[in-house]
Amino acid sequence: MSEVYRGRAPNIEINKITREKIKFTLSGVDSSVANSLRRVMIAEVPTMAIDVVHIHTNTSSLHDEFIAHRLGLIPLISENQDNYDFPRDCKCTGHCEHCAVQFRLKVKNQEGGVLDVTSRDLRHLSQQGNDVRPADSDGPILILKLRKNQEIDITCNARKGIGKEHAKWSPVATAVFKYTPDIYLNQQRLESQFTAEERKEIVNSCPVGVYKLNEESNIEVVKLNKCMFCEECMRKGEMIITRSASALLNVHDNVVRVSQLKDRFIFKVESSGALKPESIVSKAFTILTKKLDDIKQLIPPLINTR
Amino acid sequence: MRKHGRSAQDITQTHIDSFDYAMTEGLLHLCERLLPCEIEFPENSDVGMRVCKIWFENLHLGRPYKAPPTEGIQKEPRLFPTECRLSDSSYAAPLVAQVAWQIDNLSIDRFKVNLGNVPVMVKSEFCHLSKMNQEELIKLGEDIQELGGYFIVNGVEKIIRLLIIQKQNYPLAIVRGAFTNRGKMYTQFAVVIRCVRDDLFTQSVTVHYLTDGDCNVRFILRRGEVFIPAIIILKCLKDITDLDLYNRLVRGSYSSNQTYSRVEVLIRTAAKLAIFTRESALKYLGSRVRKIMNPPSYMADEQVGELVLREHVFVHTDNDNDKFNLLVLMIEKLYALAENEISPESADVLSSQEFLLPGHLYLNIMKENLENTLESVKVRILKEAPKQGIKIRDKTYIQKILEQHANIGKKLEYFLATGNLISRTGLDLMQAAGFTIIAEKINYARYLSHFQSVHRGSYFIEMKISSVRKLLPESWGFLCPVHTPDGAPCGLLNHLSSTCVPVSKNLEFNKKEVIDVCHSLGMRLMSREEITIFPVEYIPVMLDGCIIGYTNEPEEFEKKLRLEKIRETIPRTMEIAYLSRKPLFLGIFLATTQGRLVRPVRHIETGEKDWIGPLEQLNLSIACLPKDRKPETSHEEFSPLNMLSILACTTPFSDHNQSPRNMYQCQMAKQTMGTPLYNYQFRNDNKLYRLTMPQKPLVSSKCRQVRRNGFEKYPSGTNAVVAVISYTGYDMEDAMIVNKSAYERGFGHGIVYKANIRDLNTTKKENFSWIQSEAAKKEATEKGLDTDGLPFVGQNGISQQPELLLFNGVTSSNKTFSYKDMEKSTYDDIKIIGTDTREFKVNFKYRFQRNPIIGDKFSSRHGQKGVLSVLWPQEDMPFTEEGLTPDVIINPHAFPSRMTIGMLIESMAGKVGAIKGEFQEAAPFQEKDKVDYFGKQLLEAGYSYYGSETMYSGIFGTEMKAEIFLGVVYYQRLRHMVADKYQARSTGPVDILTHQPVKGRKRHGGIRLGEMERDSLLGHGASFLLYDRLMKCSDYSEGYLCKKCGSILGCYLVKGKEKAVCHACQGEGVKVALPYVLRYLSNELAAMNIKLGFKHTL
Amino acid sequence: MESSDNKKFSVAEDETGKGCTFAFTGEGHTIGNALRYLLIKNQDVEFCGYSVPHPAEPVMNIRLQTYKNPPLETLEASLNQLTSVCDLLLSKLDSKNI
Repeated sequence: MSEVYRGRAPNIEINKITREKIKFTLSGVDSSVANSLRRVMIAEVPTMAIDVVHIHTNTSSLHDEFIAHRLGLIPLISENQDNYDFPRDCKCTGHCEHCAVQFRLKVKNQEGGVLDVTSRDLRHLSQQGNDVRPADSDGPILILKLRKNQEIDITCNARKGIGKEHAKWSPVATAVFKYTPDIYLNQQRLESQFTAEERKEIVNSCPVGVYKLNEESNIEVVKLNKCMFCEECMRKGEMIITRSASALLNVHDNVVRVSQLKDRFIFKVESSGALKPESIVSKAFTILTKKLDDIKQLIPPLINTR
Repeated sequence: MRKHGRSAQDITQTHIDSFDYAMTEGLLHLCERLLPCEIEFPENSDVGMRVCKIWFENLHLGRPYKAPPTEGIQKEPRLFPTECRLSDSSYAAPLVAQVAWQIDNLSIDRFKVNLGNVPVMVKSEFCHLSKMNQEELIKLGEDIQELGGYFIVNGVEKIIRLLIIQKQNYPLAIVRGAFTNRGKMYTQFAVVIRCVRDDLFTQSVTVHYLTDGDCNVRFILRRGEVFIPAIIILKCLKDITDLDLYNRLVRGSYSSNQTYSRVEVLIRTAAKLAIFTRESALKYLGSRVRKIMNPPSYMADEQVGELVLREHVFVHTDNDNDKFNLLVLMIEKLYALAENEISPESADVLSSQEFLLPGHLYLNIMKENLENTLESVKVRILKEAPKQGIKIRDKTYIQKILEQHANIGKKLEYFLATGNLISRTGLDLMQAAGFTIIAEKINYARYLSHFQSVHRGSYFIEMKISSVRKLLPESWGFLCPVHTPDGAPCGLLNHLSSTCVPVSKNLEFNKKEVIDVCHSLGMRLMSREEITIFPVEYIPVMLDGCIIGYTNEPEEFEKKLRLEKIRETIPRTMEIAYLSRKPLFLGIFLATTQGRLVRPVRHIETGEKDWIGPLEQLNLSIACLPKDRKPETSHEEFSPLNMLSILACTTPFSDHNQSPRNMYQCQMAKQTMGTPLYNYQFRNDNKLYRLTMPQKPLVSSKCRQVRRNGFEKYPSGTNAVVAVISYTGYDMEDAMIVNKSAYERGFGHGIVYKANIRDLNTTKKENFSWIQSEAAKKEATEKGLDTDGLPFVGQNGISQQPELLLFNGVTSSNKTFSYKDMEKSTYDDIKIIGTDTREFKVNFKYRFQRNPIIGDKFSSRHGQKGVLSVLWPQEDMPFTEEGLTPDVIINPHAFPSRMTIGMLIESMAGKVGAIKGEFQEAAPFQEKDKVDYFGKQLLEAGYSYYGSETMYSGIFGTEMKAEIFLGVVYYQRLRHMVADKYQARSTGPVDILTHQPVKGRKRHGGIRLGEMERDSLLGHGASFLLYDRLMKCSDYSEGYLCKKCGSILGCYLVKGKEKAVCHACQGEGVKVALPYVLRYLSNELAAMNIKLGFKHTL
Repeated sequence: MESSDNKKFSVAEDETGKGCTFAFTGEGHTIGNALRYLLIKNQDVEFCGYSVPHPAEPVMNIRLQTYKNPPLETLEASLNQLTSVCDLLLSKLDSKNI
């Protein structure tokens, strides 16, 4: 890939926001910064999730640890998680209103048939933690099913944590970035050395349809961002021109050149429901900054001692 | 033939059918054949009779019922398997005999005797479950798919294994060097036939060839061997002139093969013994065997001879003519063998083998036990006759004695529980132990394989010869070439191919009809009375070990007979084995008995299903695929998968793997944590493994073997996104990296259930009962238990914490029992087991959470096993553009030498399956180009053709230059977990005798630093390390050494004295450091009068 | 309750006074890679590299050698750079968002 580097100021452009996902372009930064952002989004943005579970009664067909595991994985809306402390930072012993939100799950199947116990059955124990509730606006999240006369009675504590500690606290279904493609077509060579048929072959070699043949039978780039760097088009171009079964890719000479812009990243972040996608991104920046600040604070005393 | 392959029930059907046959028809035949017990009273006893005869007229096996309660009415009198499993009892039914007895040949008296409770096979005709549908079974606490086929003995599910034994009623020509040791003039040639009677009683008869041409017949009689010259037996069986016999044996062949001169020698032997008539032959035979047979005194020698012939020689037929013809045939075959005209047959080839079915073995053991019962009754009566006198004539008295001596139930339970065979005759089997195995329910595949497994015999395990273990082409289609363990039982423990069925039901047919059909097709009949001599061009036709005729147009005959077989005028599964070419012994051998293998192939001419056997297969030309047809092909396989066992068919794309890898997979599939069963509540197995979140494999075979055998209901693995990349260095040497977030979201989570039973039985010192008093209840609550002294369900079991509080009636105090395991668990279930009058057992079921930790073993389905080496955080994992991170990373070095291309194809197929949302077909031997098929679909979906994707490093965010192979592979979690294996010790218990650390993880022992490890340390020159290991940390001790005599035994320090004195020689003692085990050695040598003396050098 | 990732970091200087190894507790590649990149961009930096010695331990080391300025100051400068980038992006994000 050719090195293309354009010195630009850091910039962020939001391409698309929905309730679940956000797609934005980060430019003017290096891949290391982009990666740090991605890592923080996955592992260090705090959310609330059920962490400690007291089981009073469980006569269902699932065993205790299984139910506790499932409860932990329920995403809880944590927009206000700043109001809560991390359990390790809280001054109380056990839990208190500053570090935990309590839920009660108490269901008994009286009627018969199969009763679905879902996240809608989680009730807050106190009014105060009302803002932290399961992210089930799309539909109730199934926890377990009960047969006639089976019951469960569970008290759960939801606490604040980060994805590094356990994946249930990760706010993203996934956070990923990719490089922006930069496609250079040597139109001169394409017109002179290739027939229309061969140009069509190059267009068809792309598995995602980046190219299109326009009215003059020339290759046009239509869906730049779909390119997945499979290099099939490059290979096809070389194979046609050299008439050999394999192709050598010499970065500077190819008739079709696909490269990556080194400082432009397309991020796709899908939230699990715990936080709004834009909250995740801004929180990620905040946390990154805080980490740097924490380190920075420690430096002046060290400089003074030298 | 019942339609096979319809459902999973077919897996155990062989066992069940054989048991049903044995306990219905088998018992009938048994009664017919069982010799009555004849008791001869001595002259002077005043019992009022001379002779009395006792015999069993009828035997009837009932159904299992509970013992009636001491009071009240039973709600459910039937005994069900669930209750037996939970209460550690046996699922047994009463065996009732109708006994007849006759005094002095006068009137016959009859009475019924209960012979005890005999274990019954689950889901057989005698089991209550056999008539129930799935709903009723589930209500009773059985699994959703209860296959039966096993016995429940003391709460444990036991299976009688299928064993390989010699083919019945077929003379086998054997060359064995050991035969020459039988006596002077014996050669290594012999023909052996294993004869089986209708009551499944087996006797082998061997005809040995002597150097001068004579033949000796050998058979086993009551644990001893009898050798009789063949001519004697021939004469006993038929009154025949020497000339007729000569013609019969030579059959007009005066070619160079010298048969005629051998026959002359054979016949002359009779003259040597001066035996010319049938009576004299019988008399000779009778006198030879009298001592061994021990017959009643009124029997003359001739009668004894007849008895021996009837009961022990060629028992498969009752007709003397048939026996005669058979012996003549065997002698012919033997001469051909000695002349090198035919090649010797190997006993290791499947065409000369068949299976010993569970029911048959059971019946044989029953028969022996009944005989023993009668024997012991005879002894008892004879002993008591002087005392009881006339009272013996009372039939209730005899009834009582019979019931006392009848211990069939106990003996059969012992056999099933231990697998040991205690038998006078050995039942014509080579081994005396190892007949039964526990039906382990580790997972469904393991359970299935038990019923499909066949063992060659434990006798062969120690044999150094490898020829027994080899895979021979004769096993094609019958035994799976791939599904055999590696290691000690390799090649000895085989599994049936998926379509192969051992015949376990009696074929209903009329022997006369079959003979008529054969006659109509051109066979010349063998007269039953006269001697018919067929010239040597005619080859014999044998049905179940009896010659029925000869034919000189064998090919035509065989073809026509096969058509009749397909039309079902003769039994469908009859084996028509036409041995057509030299160096085989020419003949057409028909077989209809049980225990032999048959499998279906398509008969090309008619298009119908033809069931063929291994001996038959030798002569058939069977095309595997339609394109393999040749002009002489008569049959065709239904599917190329039919040669594999059920489990081998589940390996995806196994035709792309190196075959040892498929063998490993067959083994490891039986060790995965999966879903063994669904009725956990109703079982207290010692150990059960369960995968918490199992998945059906995305890539699986839709072939009938997999579809119909219930694998879908019992999944045993997880579909994982797998990247093949050398990443982090933690994936070397077959280790694998698991995504930490995948693990936290539930990948590979599993549970182990263990059960522990506490006995509350009364002994002298203890009489336990539940706590009653208030003080005891308070104590229980303080100890963390419920007020009845038992822990709460759902409570944690923590090492050394109280688990059970009981009141001991003998000492009038409360006793606390503690939780014994080192690991924390939860009480899953607590059951109290007892009868209606008292409760005598408490069963604790513990549940251990076993989520994957470092050191747990995983494997794909291609023999690629590996250990979890590290849980790698998701953010550090390489990611694709879509945001996918792999769940599992394995090292690409695992592939070049192992050549498991099937895994790579599975990865592509799994990817396609995940993209399209469809299960993908993974059967082997598909015609299409799989890489192309899946590759094209991947291209359509926008991925690369070969399954690789560009990925970015999770650590740096940069693109990785090489494309990474990423796909979805079904991963299995094996049950070898580090939590069960690790041991650590600094100090701990020592052996009393040697003061060295004990062995064993349970006993907190140490790991042995063996001889080879010692050599390594020496090689490094680490002498102090060695001294530390072998002395300081082991059995270092200090003692005194006598300077004068050098003994360490005599020298010690008496309390109060200053110096140590040698009490043997009064010499001065000096303190030395020595390993304690040296004292032991010195003592042992001293006991042999050897003094171990040491010089002390400063 | 002591937090397990107490962000202490220790400094080990070498004799020249221009080379330093910083050991961070509780940080990993997230900070390490980004800082390393920014440090390398700095003209004054002679050598910069980072490593996580063992994945089981939450320790990250950055080795920094400068030509002229003291390493601690260089580190501080890079931290400031990174902070400003983040702040800038955050403000741009918030403005676009509203």
